[in-house]
Amino acid sequence: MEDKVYWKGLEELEQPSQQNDREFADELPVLGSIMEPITTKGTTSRRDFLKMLGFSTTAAVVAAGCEMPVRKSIPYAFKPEEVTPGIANYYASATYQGGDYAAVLVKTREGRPIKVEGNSLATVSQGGTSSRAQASVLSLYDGGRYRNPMRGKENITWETADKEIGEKLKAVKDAGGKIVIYSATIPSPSTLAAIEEFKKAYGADHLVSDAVSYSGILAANGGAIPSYHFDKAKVIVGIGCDFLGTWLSPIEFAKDWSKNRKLNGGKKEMSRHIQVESALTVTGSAADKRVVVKPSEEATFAVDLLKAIESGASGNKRADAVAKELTAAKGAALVVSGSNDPNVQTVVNAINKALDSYGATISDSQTYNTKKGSDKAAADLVAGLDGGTIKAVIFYNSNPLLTHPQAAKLKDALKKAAVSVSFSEVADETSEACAYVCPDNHWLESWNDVSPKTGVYNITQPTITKLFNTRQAQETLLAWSGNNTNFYDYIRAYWDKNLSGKQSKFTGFNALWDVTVHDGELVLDGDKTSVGTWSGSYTAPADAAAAVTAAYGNLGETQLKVYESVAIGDGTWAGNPFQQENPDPITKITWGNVVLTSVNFRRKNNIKNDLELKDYQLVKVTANGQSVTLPAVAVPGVADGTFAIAVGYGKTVTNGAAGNDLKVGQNAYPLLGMIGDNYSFISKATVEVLNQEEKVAITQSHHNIVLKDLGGIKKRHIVKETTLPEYLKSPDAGNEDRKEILEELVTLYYKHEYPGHHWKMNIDLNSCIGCGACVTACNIENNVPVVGKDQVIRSREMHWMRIDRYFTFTKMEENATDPADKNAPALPAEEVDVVFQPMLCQQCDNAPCENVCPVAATTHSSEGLNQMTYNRCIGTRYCANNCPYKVRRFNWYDYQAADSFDGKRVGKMWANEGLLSDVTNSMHEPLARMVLNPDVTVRSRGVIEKCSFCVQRTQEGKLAAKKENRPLKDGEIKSACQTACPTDAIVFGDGNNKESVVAGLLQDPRTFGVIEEIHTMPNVTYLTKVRNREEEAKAAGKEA
Amino acid sequence: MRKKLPLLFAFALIFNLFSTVSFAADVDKAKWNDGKSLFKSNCASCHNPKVATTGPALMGVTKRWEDGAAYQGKPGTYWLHMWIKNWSDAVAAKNPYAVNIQNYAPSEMNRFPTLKDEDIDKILLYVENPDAGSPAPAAAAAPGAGGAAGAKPEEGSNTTLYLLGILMFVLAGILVAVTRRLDTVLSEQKGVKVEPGTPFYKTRSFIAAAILIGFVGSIFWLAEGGIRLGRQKGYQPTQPIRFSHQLHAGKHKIDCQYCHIGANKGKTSGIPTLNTCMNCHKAVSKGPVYGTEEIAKIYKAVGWDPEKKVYSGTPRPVEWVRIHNLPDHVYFNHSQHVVAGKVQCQTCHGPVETMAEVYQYAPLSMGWCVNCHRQTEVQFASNNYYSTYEKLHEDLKNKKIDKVTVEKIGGTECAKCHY
Repeated sequence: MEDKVYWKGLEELEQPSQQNDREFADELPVLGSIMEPITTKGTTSRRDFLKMLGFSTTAAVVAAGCEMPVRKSIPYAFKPEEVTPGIANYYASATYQGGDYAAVLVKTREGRPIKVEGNSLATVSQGGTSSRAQASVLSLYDGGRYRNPMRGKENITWETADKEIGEKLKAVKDAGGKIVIYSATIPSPSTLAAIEEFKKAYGADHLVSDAVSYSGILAANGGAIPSYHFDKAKVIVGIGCDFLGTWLSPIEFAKDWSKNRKLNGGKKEMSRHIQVESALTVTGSAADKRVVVKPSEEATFAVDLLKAIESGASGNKRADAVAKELTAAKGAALVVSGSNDPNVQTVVNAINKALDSYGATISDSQTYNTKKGSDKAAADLVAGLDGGTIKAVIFYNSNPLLTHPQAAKLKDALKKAAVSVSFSEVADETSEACAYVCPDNHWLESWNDVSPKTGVYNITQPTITKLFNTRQAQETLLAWSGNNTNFYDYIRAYWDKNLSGKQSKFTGFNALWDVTVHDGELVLDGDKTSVGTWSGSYTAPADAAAAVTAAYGNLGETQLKVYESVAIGDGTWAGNPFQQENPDPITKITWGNVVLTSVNFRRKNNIKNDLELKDYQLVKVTANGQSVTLPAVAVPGVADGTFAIAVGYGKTVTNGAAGNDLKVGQNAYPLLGMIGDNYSFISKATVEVLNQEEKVAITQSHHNIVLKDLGGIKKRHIVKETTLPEYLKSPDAGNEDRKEILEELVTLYYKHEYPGHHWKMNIDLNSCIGCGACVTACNIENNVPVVGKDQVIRSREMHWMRIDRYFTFTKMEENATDPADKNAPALPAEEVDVVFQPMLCQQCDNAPCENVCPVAATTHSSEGLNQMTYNRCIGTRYCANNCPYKVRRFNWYDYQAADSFDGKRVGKMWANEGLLSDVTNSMHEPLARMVLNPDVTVRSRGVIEKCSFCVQRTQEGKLAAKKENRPLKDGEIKSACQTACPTDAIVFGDGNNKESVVAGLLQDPRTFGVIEEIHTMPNVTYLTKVRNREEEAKAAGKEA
Repeated sequence: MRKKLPLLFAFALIFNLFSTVSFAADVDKAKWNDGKSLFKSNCASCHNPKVATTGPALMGVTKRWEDGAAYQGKPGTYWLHMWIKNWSDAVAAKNPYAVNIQNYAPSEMNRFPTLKDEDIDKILLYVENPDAGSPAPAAAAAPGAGGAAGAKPEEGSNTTLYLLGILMFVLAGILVAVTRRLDTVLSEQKGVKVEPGTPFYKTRSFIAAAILIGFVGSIFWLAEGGIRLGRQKGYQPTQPIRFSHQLHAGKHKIDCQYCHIGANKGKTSGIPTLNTCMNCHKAVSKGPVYGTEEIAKIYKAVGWDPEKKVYSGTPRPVEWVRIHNLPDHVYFNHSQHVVAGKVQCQTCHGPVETMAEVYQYAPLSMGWCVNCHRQTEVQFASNNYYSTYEKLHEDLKNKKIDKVTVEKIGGTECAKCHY
């Protein structure tokens, strides 16, 4: 086992001594810094201190002197049959927002949706979710939603809106002007039928354009993207394609990909995953081998790869090596590319054709309905409005004034339209510029259908009465077309007419409908037909290859790569506080976007960054005549000359109490270039280093597991990994020291007894992709507050679960030179490995936190839980200090407005001074608080909190078993993080039940606990990460 | 206490006297009682002897049928019996009286083919003489008053102790003063001139003691006050509708969970929604204590028009005053206790069936919860869930422990209620 060094960030690598000394991410704040926002300087006077003291004493006396308030208990007048107070109902539904599809179960309590879980009956998302799907429940209670139809800034009624808009549309139609519905892809067949009705009524056009475009791959595949089966591939090559994080259908791909990455139960085989990319992505981090190239080479690499597969040698050694592996796995290989250039995609199709992937790992009988946008449509809109042919435009599910590269031009052109309408739920850039807003319902308030793929139909069903005076967009369109059917009846009629006849499973439509609404999905195998593939539908591969070489051959040394971030997506989620505060898997940055640069760029230009104060130097990136200025953050693994910026940030219009806090980062859409008719996410760029700094809310250095007193980073292994050849030689490879460690442990303490259950969790580092779905799921399940950018900068984020991201070198010995040395050889991006480790309370059986609590607020339970009792906690924070895993969080403020008298927050005192961010305050609104889980206490200021192992779920599960007079079944109780995980990396269960999955995993030779040598006896264990590096081992063997 | 006994005895005697049911001479007591219970179990959900509800008011029904329903040579009572057993038989036989009333709104009558003729006679006996068994009106209020008073938990006689203590203290003070005075007098008689000493309240030791006692006392007072904060044992607010559990649960023996349907399902037992009330109160529009006044409030809230017997108003839920409040950081689940623990409602809620107005019986303090968890046995043998607790089963078998209390399975751990 080699002594690998793992480091969380570049700063840690460069100043190892400093970083590893820092047990606490920031200095323990004295009063001065508690009182002041980090952006201003100031001190607290003795007077202020006395004021605070006086206030708190008075408040306590008032509270003590008051009589108990009279509380009302108000039952329903008529109880709905399915609602029993205190018992959750689950409804199958499906979401498609911002290009992100998931079939889900919506958990409602007393009629309020409070959580979404994956629907395990669904065939596409297969029970997985993403952090975006998890967070979407908060968008329902967004205070920035429109509450009425609007004419400009004025509220109007639906009657007025229908009348005025109807008249105007008619006038446009009569005058021969064009009416256009401009939308993102709509995967709902019934909605498309409603749009057809509108088109017929007004002679309108429907322009479909996605913010993050797939029009290149659509063009190369005859307008329909085929299904990719990562579970059937033995060798997977992703070229600039973040298929585990954002590309096309990430939940499905993560599920499928992970099936061949697990080595549980003595499995000896795993897929080989090679990622060719310029910037580091979660997919690249999970890969066995990363080929680091410049952004333009992501295109030319495909050409080389094709050449190498066809003729054996391309002149590009790296491509030859990849080609060799692919060819060896012919029939079980899969190559995917994230490029939006049809030529690149044609080349990739040719590669797959040459590898016999069609019919094996790609099936064109089932295609995606979730991506149908064309970039030409986006251009047509601007041209049409500008040229005066389009006289009326309706924006549906799209916000082009943020996401359109020619947004400025579009904004001017929009003024020429006779009528402009937005269906947006929330105030956004486009809706502000439209003459009318006819707000759509949130998906949790709507009936809808979603067909993510050919033959797969999901129902979206409402789980709450609509909160505001909104109307479903489909009904609005139908009303304007003179059809006053409500959309529920419309869907039913559509299904009866178009789907009922295609199946034979159900007799009668009502049976089909009821079962589909209950299960959430209908699969019609008869729908699957063969559609056109690359052959014949686009240029010949040879021409395409030549075009690619010509287009990308000469993009220069500095190149821009624009990408979609895992948390914010195309920008749909920029208004969601949970997503803004969910650290980016790779950069660990919250609340804003940055420019990702290579390490060598930073070293060469001596770019300053101060991880402690979180000041990062700004750079100005110019491409395609537009420029943005953002902080530069060097990330190991990013190719030299690559500058990557995430889209979706830089909102200029928000509504609601969160207000300006959501206007973070800069908009990168204007930087997009054009390749033919399609947007190019890769451009030639110039970069200028500015002499300015900006604060970046980066959580990278927060909550470090400190190794100073543990023998240093070379001695202790927080994460353990090995390679497949090593693993096959001995299953405990990389984990050989565990046996020894466990033998050495002796204790003077008595051992706890666990007469009933002993809860355990096991996390497979092999399948964890770091996507952060678990973090959001945990936040929502456990009422974890959003603290805002300022508080995150002070390392006060409250997340119970974090994903530690460690960098390491592929080959340790070659990079062992002093990295702090300025003259050291360049840090090779390709030699960097990434390991993700979800870190949560380890529920130690010998917990260091328990011993130090002076008031016994944290104690051990007979089920192995390390219990945290908030009402007993007095906030000494001894436990947090003594926790080696740094998983305990302190409520520096009343983030959740728990300490309130009659709804008036005591904490308002702080809020008024600008200490609590607007976004945190916005979460106190009664509307936003509807998302809270009523089974979990809302913590008040001054107490410690941490992961409870979802004790509310274990208690609920046990009770269900007791009531049914039966023993608890394994797998019956699932933690929130476990249900959210799209790769099933997390397993939770009763270790005392020898039959349980988790008990089995505890016997796995790969199982280890983090820093077990300090005898904490953690109940959370991990499985060693195994990378499939057989090829490298063979190569090394040959050299030797 | 001793003095109270004869008083109670007298009270009980009077109560018994009044509650003795007086029957009219011509009514067979046993038959009437049978008839009443048969009526309650079979007919009362739709019929009332005196008031037209879902079905018509039944008093005088025998005479009405005797007079009008004789047909095919059979007397009216024959047809009435047939109607009660299966009304459609009478209609099928084309008895004009039956045909005429078959469309009595709003719903068709249930069939009772199992009722024997003598049962029907008993029911009719009751229906024709509904008031025959009623106790005298003056006594009607007595059980309520008596029951409620008796149910209140006895307060300890600490006050007397305190008073005694103070009295003793004052006495001691007087004695000390008197002794001193006597000493002085004695000394003066002996001719010794006594200098008036420093009064005791100015002595150092007294001041020190007073400060100490004052300090400790105030800390104690604060702590006591703090602990009591939010506790409200005995809380008995006035409710918007004067609903009597004594009447519903006590007299009519309606099962608690008929109305509190959540108790065996989830966290909250639930306050019944108005549609539950209307299950009975569609028929019962008059109560024994407040007449129609309180029931009318239900009708108003639920939007029921008692004249036309239709829901016509806008329903508005009743805003009950919440009596049992647990802090937000306490998780309590009714079904855990009712279903899994098989705990009686009265264990925590007290003798609700005797409460005309509900009050909080238990302190609902953490000490109270924990004490119960320490003493109460779990359904260890009978519930299969516990089969996985192998060690405890073994300990029971080996007589290492004699019972498994809630505490033994972790019932006093923090995260059982706080999370």
